[in-house]
Amino acid sequence: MKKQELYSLIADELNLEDGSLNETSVLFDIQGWDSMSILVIMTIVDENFGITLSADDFTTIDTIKDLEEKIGAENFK
Amino acid sequence: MNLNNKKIIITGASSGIGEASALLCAEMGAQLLLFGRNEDRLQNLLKKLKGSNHEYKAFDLTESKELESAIIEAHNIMGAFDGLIHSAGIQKTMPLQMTNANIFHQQYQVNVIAGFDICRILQKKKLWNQQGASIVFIASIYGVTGVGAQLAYSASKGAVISGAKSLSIELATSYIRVNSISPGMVEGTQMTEGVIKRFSSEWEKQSKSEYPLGWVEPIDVANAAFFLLSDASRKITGTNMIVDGGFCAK
Repeated sequence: MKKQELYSLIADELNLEDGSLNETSVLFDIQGWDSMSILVIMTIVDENFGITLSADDFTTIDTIKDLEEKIGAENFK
Repeated sequence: MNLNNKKIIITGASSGIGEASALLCAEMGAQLLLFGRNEDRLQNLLKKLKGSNHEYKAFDLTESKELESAIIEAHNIMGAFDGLIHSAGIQKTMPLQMTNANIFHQQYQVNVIAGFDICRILQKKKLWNQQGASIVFIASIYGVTGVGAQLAYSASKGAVISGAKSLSIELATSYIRVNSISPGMVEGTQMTEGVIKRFSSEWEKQSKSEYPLGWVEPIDVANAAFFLLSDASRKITGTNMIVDGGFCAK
């Protein structure tokens, strides 16, 4: 998966406009962000990368870039 | 109480509640047919079981074609079955917006359909002991109470509980009893570990504080299944036994 595809997937599941997310986007600033939003991102990462994140991981994931680093550069095309 | 000479099928036997049930049932004298996905774990379990002549088959319960042939083959070796514990189950924690039809299908296939399909095969092919038998479905307290982010799982467990009740009426004339067990959070299982990871260490502490007697262990559920399989429960059918350390009492 390309990074841009991840942004689009997250935007789609969180009902945001396509193109509204980029590396610098702060997760907690996303409109309507709540605990279910964390579950949405965990599910996306699990289903597309086979990586199981925990809620505790999100204490250090502030931005989309932090999320990418957690996933690992080697897992992106 | 014992299970001497009883032939019992256990699904989901390669781990958790299924594994604990297999160990206990064998200890109590039963001859077992074990189903599970992980062949290595089933082989290891077989080595730990008391008694001999147990059989196993490793396959995915979503492959229903294999299910029928596996049961018939085992019947040819073991003879008529006296009981079933349907412990196989899958669970995914996710919000409503991601719980699509495919998610429902996956969880219903294993949690609900496979268990009832085993009953259908055994009944249709007359593979039950004609003197009577006992079926135990492992459900969940989330089939009784609500829980967030587990819609498909809780709905599937509710289906197991109500389906077991209906089946208990239909099969009573064949002297087959049908019950379900609804455990609370079960310590140390893959499923529970997955839920803990999804949430947080703080959530685990909070959850445990909501159980007056603490989280359940696999052996607690196995003990209940043993009772329901044994002749000591011969007049108990159509019930849902809650094994939850008091969670639902609040």
